[in-house]
Amino acid sequence: MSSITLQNLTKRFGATVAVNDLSLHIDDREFVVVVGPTGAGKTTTLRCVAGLEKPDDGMVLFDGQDVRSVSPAERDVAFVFQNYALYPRKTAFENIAFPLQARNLSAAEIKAEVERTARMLRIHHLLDRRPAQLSGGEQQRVALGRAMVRRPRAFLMDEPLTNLDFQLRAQMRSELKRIQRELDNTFFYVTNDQVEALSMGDRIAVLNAGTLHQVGTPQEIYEHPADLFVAAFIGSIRMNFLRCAFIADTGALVSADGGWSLPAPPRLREGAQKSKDPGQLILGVRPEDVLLSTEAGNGALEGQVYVAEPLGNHNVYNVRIGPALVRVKTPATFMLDAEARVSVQFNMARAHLFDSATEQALT
Amino acid sequence: MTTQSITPETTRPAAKPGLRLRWLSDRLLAGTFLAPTLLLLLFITIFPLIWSLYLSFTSYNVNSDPSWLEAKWVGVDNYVYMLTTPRVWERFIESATFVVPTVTLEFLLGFGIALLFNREFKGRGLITTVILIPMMVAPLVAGLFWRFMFQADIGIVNYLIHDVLGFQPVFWLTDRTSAMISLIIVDTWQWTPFIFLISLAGLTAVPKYLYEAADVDRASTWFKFRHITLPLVWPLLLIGIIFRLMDAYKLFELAWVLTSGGPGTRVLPVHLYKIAFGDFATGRASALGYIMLVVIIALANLLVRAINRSRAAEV
Repeated sequence: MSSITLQNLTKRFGATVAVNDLSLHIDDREFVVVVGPTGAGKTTTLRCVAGLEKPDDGMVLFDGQDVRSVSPAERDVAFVFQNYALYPRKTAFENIAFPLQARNLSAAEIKAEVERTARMLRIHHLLDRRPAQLSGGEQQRVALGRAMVRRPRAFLMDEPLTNLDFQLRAQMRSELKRIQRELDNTFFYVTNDQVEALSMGDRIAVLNAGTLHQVGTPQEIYEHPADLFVAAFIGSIRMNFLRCAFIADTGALVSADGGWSLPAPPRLREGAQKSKDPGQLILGVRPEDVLLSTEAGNGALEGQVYVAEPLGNHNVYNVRIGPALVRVKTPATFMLDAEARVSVQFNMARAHLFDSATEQALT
Repeated sequence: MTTQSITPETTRPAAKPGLRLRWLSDRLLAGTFLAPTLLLLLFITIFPLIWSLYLSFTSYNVNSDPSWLEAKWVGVDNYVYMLTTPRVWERFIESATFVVPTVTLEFLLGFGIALLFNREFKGRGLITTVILIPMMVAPLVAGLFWRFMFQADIGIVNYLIHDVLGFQPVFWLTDRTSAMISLIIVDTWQWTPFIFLISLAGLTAVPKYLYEAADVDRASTWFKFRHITLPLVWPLLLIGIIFRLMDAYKLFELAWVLTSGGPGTRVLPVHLYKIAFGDFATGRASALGYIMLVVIIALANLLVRAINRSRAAEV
């Protein structure tokens, strides 16, 4: 169990910069999730921590000690690969026992440890099967078992749930969280699924194109995205972005095409004043912070339903407001036909403002 | 759910009449094209196989008997003779003393070199190609070259041993033991690249992430070799060994060119040749041929089973 610190980590592959000057600290026993789209450099970062990749610049520290010259084996971390990397000719038992065999434990000790781990993962009835005889979820558990069977300094997980189907993934999310509590160890977890990040991480680091965009608790990341990328990437339904300008005299936000004008609450007003160019702003509103109504309301915008997506437990409507399309999340009971005329209200208390030049959050 | 939606399409556009001949089905057409090849194959492979099987039960002598139709049926006499003659057993042992060390050497060298080549280094492609050259030389030509080099008086091998290093010259091709050693050397020289190639293919196919996983799991180099490399490459290696085993077992031209089947190198195929075309005992030669065939089929079968076993271990 140890803390992990990345200091100005940079990794290039030829001309491509996979990881660019990344600094991140993970506390001992913390569950940190690095999330970002494909090609963001997440896996490369993780491989640098494991020692499978040599950084071109910067340092990796375990408990404050530089491990650059330490081999993967001596780093004493466990790595769960995206494709599980199970040894194909070995049974589940032998796979899980592998890290122990390399350490010259007695057969009885190995057996006890493997069975303890298997019970924790609920795969003790599958131990005599080979990887090809196991389902994806079972293989994934065996891979986890192989990582858990010895007590490493940290767990490094490279998209371990990506290859599972949706339901199993949801189940394994909570399972992994439970396992982390039980093992009481440092977890460095990489995923491209923001749901995994939000549901499992003590803290989340959002990575894109090798650059770290924001680090924070799930709530911080969701409620206060630092820039446009984080705001767009985090959230099951993408945040709505509306180009607008702040008019200092009236204290109102006016849409780029002049179609609507909304009074800005003090928080947004302060934010807008921070911008070098208050005439070029982007208003961010999450789909659940938009209220639809069939009755015209005070200060509401006029809209028309463009596409309706009933999703069972909630509905998503694409509503046209002037030239812009706004996604709105409503309860499942709120039913509208396509083409229906609606009035739209933004919950401005929960809205965000971004500078369109720097893409940074202003609120 | 209604069943209407899965009603199959019942109408098809009618085939154009055109040039299509009604009686010429696809099967017949395919058969027509295949027939010449099949007939040729039947004539040059299957027919001799069956005919020689018949001859192996007769006392036919291609030199003295006017026609094979008059050959005398002798039942299993030829087989009994072959299996009870000590000389034949000596040939079997001589063949074994050639096949076993040769294939072992080729396997160890080929796999060993492949292990060394299983990493990136400068000039890897070029050196790989150079290593493969002996395999591309016709065995007859290779044998002739080596015969020159092994010449006791003027060969370069003895020149190096005697004139350069100062040892006694070796009678490579005429002494019993050294003749067999020469044969083993030449065959190993020629066919090690084959095992090398197959091993390299096998090694390249082992996914890199398995080694990475093992690295993280703190496995030693030997452990990785023993538990990842070897089990994954083994089936392919077995196939290579089967090929070499069958090939070495029926080796003829090299032994013929190097020593003409002289002392120490009268392996089975050479012996067979001498019975068939020296003594012209066609019946007996056919019988020996069939005995050899049964032995190699049995051997190959054992190895194929081993391959299937290790394949089954994956599932």
